[in-house]
Amino acid sequence: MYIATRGGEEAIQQSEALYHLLNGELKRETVQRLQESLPYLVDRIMGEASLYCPELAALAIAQTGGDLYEAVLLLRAYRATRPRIAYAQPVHAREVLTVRRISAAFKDVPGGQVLGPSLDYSHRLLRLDVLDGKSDESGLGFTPSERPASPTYPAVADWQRQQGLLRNQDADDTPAGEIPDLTTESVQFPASRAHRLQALARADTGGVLALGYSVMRGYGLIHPTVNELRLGLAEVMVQHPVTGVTFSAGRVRVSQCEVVAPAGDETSYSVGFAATLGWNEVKLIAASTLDLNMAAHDEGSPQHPAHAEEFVMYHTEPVESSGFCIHFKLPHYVTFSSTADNVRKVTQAVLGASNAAVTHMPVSATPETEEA
Amino acid sequence: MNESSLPAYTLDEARDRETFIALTDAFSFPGRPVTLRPFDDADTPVRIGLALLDLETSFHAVDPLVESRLLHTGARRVSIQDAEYLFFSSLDPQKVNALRAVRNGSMLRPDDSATLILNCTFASGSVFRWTGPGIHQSIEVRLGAIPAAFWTLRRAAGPFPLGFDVILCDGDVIMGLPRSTAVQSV
Amino acid sequence: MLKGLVSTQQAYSYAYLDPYAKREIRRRILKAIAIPGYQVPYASRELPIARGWGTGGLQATLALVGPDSIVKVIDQGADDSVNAANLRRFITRMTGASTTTDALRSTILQSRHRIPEERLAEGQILVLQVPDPEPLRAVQPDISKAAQLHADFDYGQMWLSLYEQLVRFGQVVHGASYPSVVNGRFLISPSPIPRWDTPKLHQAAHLTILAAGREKRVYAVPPYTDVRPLEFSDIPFQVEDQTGRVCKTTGAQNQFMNEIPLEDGTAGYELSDSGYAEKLANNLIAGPTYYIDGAFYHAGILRPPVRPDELDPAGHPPSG
Repeated sequence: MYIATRGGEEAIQQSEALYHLLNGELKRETVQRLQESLPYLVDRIMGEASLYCPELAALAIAQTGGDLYEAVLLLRAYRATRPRIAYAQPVHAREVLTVRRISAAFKDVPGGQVLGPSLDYSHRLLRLDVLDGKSDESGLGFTPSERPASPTYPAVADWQRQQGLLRNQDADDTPAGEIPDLTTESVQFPASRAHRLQALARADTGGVLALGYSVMRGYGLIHPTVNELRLGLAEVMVQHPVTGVTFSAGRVRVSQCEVVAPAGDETSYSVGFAATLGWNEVKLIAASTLDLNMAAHDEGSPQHPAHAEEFVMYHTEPVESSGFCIHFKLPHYVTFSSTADNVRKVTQAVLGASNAAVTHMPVSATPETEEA
Repeated sequence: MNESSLPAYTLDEARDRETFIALTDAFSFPGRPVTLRPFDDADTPVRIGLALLDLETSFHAVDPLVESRLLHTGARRVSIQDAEYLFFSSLDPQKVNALRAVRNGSMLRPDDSATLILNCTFASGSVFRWTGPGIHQSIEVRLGAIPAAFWTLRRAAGPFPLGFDVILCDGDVIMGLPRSTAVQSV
Repeated sequence: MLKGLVSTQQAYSYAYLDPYAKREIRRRILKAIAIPGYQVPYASRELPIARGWGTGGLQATLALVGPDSIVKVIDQGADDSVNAANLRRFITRMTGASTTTDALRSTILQSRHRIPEERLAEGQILVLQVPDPEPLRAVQPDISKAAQLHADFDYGQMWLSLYEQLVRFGQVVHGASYPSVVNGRFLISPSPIPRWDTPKLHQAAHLTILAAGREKRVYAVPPYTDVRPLEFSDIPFQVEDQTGRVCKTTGAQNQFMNEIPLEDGTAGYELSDSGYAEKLANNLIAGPTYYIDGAFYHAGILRPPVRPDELDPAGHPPSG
């Protein structure tokens, strides 16, 4: 086996080694600390990678020195090599072990407003005393209640349906193996509902936020109402392919958000929905808003890119967008010279034959000065 | 992964890859016979099925032995009109008539169309002149055991880009007949 | 119970792609060859290389390559570009294939933005990396609307945009990725190869596969297939002018050159095709090239290139 080696290969290896040298040694303990102390970062990466494994997500973050787009790419590439064993059973929000459930639509709802773990009402002050060596006591103020909270809560939407406020929709009972899967199929537009929701589930948080924000600010629906936001832990129930026994493959952090706005005809509310692996509230509120907004414009022609499904789905893809963005660092001198050829030819045509030899004429670094 | 270990090039990998390369050659140069290197006891149509089919594809086979071997790939067995891959060990006017239901694609999705794997003979039969992509000027091809009605059916499946694509098999030798090839009797 | 369903084997499949991904892209490549110029959608798995950096071309190569393959990988025509080196390293790591810088010895030639100068032969496969497979992008950014234009064989907007360039600039100012019609039917972007390389696709002896990983499309130009760049009957297709450019290492002329800015303000030139340059520099026999002494291989597809001093005052080339 003959390998043609050139200087470029050595340069790559040195470049990669330097990167890792500057990040410090990659240790198992670092990965463990990351996983323990940065769960929201780990969740964000798992959600965008559409791969649930907190240890691998923490490893990806550590291995890339915290470059999140690189971390997501690592996980996605790894995910692509994993065998598919089985499809899990659908997860119903009503059955998820829910630790946080709030609704902005009503002051109180059946089951109650459950703040759960949140920084929403905290004062955003840097804990400088931690840097002075004081130990962190912020978690010590938590007092477990005598009565455990309910693990599950009824859906706000169910109450609204009973009231006739939401349009009734038949549940989709497509068998799991037949649900379209955008990781193994190419997406055609208009996209199936499954493809759209999957795209939003693993969309780039920043990208979804930017487009969602544009909708909230007025380039679309104004002020969607958060019907329900949930953070929870879902059991992944799998049926053994041979014995038929159903068992739990584990528990994953999941989050979901529903937003509503009056439908165009004002006779009911339309619903936007998004869910993802891990807990990522800002992404879900923006994503469900986009879902609602895209649905409103599916039939007609979108007035704004954030209304168009194709625009939203293509441009919120983290691996594709970041990869293509940084690909502009690659040499482009051939295409550049092709455009330079045009620029020169047009210049020559405009300025006339006296510039015919422009490619051979030296170009002064400084403008010629007039003789005194 | 161990940095220094190469992923294994198993016999199955080799068989499937060589079949795929042969198919690539067959479609790149329609009308030129391409010989498959023998591997185990699988007949050529079955080999083609093993190389291309899995649970993400659908097929239809007339021969029950071929069908049972292809079911093991996980591919879904469906009707002629739904199949992406069709395996016909022989053709008679009746079978040609059944092939009228085959998928020819749409203008928007011409790739959403069938691939036919047909047994025939290259040693005898009528002579045709083929032209089109992959063929330098023209090529003469002798084909036997194909009813004349098949060519009528094929013409009706077009115009380009609509149509279906054919892999002709005679023992270990295959020949590609993509929809882009124009066939004339000589 | 879960452990019983998973194997503990950690090894990668041959050529990295798992069997499903491999079969899927193989199926799509075959359809692409059967429908020249048509962009076949495929699922395009993520690879350990960033999107936009050649994952499409890489998937095509990995579907084709075997231990006996001889692979050449270039970027901007150069074998030793870091990106080409990186892709080459990944391919050999995953397949055990041999590599070469000699275009004529390669069985698979993966390239970003160039087609080598030496004419390739039957049996060789050229894999071009494509960032944007849609030739209509500039006139129609929506993928679904562009797909409909292809279905309707409606390329009027493209012709119009070229005409507008003629009106504004006196010439077509489309750079690389020059829109070309394959087999008289599908308009393609031939990938961002310079106009210089576009005629090499026409009636070539080799198969060309064009793959876009991020955009998830694969298309093909079979051997001996017509590929005609869009041109008006009275305004010939023009390639990049290499007049007067002499390669400072080999002394070669009339081939595609890289322009190197020099410190004194002038420009130096060198052959972009590094494998070809290597042969010339070492006095080795190079194969026949597409562009010999100012004439293209296929007389008639293009007029000879026009030099700036040959243009008339209106900026048009001489007639005839």
